[in-house]
Amino acid sequence: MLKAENLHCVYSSGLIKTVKNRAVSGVDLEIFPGETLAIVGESGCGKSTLAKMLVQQLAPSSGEVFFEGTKLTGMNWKNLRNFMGKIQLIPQNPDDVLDPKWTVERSVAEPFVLCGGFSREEISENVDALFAEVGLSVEHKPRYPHELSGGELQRVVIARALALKPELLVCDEATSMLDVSVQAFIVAVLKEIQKKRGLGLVFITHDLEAAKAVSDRVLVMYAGEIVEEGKDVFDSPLHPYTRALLDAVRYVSLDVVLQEDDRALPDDFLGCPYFRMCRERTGACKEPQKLRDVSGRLVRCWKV
Amino acid sequence: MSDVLLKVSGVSVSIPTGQGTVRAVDDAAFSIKKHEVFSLIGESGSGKSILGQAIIKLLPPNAVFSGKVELDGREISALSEKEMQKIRGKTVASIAQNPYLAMNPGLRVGTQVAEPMRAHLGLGKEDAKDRTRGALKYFDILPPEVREREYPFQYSGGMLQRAMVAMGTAADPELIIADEPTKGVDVLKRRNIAAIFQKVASEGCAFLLITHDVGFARAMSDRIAVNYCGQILEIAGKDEFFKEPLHPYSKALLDAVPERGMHPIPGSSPSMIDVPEGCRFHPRCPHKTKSCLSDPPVVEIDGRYVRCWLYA
Repeated sequence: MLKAENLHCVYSSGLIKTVKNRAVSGVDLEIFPGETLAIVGESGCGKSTLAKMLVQQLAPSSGEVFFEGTKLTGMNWKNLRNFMGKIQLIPQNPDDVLDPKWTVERSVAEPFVLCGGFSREEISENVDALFAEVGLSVEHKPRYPHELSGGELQRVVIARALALKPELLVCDEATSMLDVSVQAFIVAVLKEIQKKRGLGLVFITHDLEAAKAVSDRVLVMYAGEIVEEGKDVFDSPLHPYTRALLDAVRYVSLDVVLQEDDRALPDDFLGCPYFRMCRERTGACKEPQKLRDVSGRLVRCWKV
Repeated sequence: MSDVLLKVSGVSVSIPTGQGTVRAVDDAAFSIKKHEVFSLIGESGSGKSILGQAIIKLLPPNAVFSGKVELDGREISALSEKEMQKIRGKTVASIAQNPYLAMNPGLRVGTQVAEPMRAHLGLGKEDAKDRTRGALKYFDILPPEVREREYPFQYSGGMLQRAMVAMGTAADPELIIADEPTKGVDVLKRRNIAAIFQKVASEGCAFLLITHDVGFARAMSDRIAVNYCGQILEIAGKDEFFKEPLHPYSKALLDAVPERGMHPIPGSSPSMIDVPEGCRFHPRCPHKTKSCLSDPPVVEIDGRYVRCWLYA
C-alpha cells in the first residue's frame, strides 16, 4: 500500500559553519493493507522523522514515497490534498494538535468542513458516529481539551484522524505518555478500528513489549538506519542492538551501568552505526553494512 | 530499635480546589524496613506523588494533612520546618522526576552535589570537593575534575539523572524517595536508571519508588503497594504479588501490561473530587457485590494487606 524507497533526511543548522545531522539514512519500507508494522528504537534514532516523511509533513532530502503506486514526494500540494485524508498521523502529544480554544467537537468536525460538500446535519451525524467508534460519549462533545484526560484526548485525535476514512494510520508514540491501563485501552481501540476498517497501521514506539503485543511485523531502527526487520524479531533477535534493547526491557544484567553513547562518529565513517556501543565489534564492522536477508529476516550485521 | 525505617500510619491529605476538595491520599498505612526497596505503583492522578511529598512535608501550602509519619521511631510529621530541613537530604533524600527542572541551572553541578555534604555533614570546601569527585566517579560521570565545573545544560539527560542520584546520596541517606524516575524515558535509559538504583540499594539504602511503570517496579522492588484513587489497595511482596495479585484492581492492572496482552480495564478512573462510595474500584470491578457500597476493610493474609470485601 505505502512504499518508501531509500529515504534520507538531513537536518542542517547554522549558516556559516553548517552542521549536518543525518536523521534518517537509506530507509526502505513497505506497508501492506490491514497490516500492523511496528517501528522501534531509542529516542533520537529517527523514528519520528521517518513518520513525518511517510505522512508528507516533511520533505525527504532524497528518496521517494509511493502510495498505491502513486509517487507522493515532489507532488504539488493541490494534488497531494487528495491523498492527505488517506494517510493520517496520530502524534505523541494530543495537546500539540488540538486547538485549546476549540471544543473537541469542532476539532473533530474540521476535516469535514475543510473537505467541503457536507451539510451541517451530515457533519454532526458523522461526528457522533466517530465519537461512538472511539468510545467517547456525547457529553464529551462540548468540552475543551483541558477538560479531558490524556486518554480521552488521544481518542479525540484518533476520531479526527478517522474522519476522512484513511487507509493508513501512522501512530507516532501515540501511547507512550499514557498509563498502562489507558495505553491498553487506546491500543484496543486502534486494533478494533483496524479490524473493522481494514486499515494499515504503523506503530512507532520505544516500548518493545508494546510493539510485540500489537504488531505483525517489526522494524528496528538505530541512528537512522534499519538494523533488523522481520516477523518474530523478539523471539530470536539477530542484531546485537536488538538484543541489547530486549535485555534492557527485561532488565538483564543490571550490575553494569551502560556507558552513554555520544554518537559522534566521524562524518566520513561509513561502517556500522552501532560500532561504538557494540560489545561484539571487530575491525570488519568499520566496513559499510548492508541489509541482508537471513532466512526471511533482514539484518544489518555481517556477523549473522 | 526494630528494623522498621519509615512507618506511615493513617495519613490522609486533602487539597481544596475551586471545584471541590480533592482527597488525594486517604488513610495510607505502610512501613518500609531498612535496606528495603518499596514501590508504590498506580496510575497518574492516583495521589501517589502527593503521598511521597507528604512524607517529607513538601506538600503544597493549601493541602490539609492528617496522620502520622515515623522515621526511625521518631515522629516527623509533627516537626517544624526548621527541624525538617535537617532530615531532608540527610536521612531522607528525594530524587525528582525531571533532572533539568530539579537542578539549579545557574550553579555548577559539582557545587550542587557537594551541597548536602556541606550542609549536613559539615564538611569543609576541600573535603566536600574530594568527596564530590569520588561520587561523580562512582556514577560514571567522567572525568570528574572537568564535569564538576560544568552546568546542568552541558550534561546529557542520563548523565544529569546520575548526577542527581549522586546529590541525593551525597549525605548517605537511609531512605531515598524517587518520584517517577522513568517517566518518558526510553528503554535503554530506563535500564540504566534501574542499574544505578540497584547499585545504591546494594549499599543498604532503602528506596520508596513511586512509579506507574509496572515492569520497573517488578525489576527493582522487594515489596509493592498498589495505589488507586488515593487509597492503597494492596501491599504484598514482589514475588507473591506478580504470581497472584489479590485485589481485582491489581489483577486488572497487571493484565493491562503489554507482556500480558494489554487487556484494558473497563470504565475510566473516577474523579478524585467525587469519589465512588464504598470501595473506590467497585464501578469497574468484575466481582462487585452489594457490600462493596460500604467501605471495605483492610484484610491481612499471610503478611499481605488487601483492601477488599472478597477477602473479608
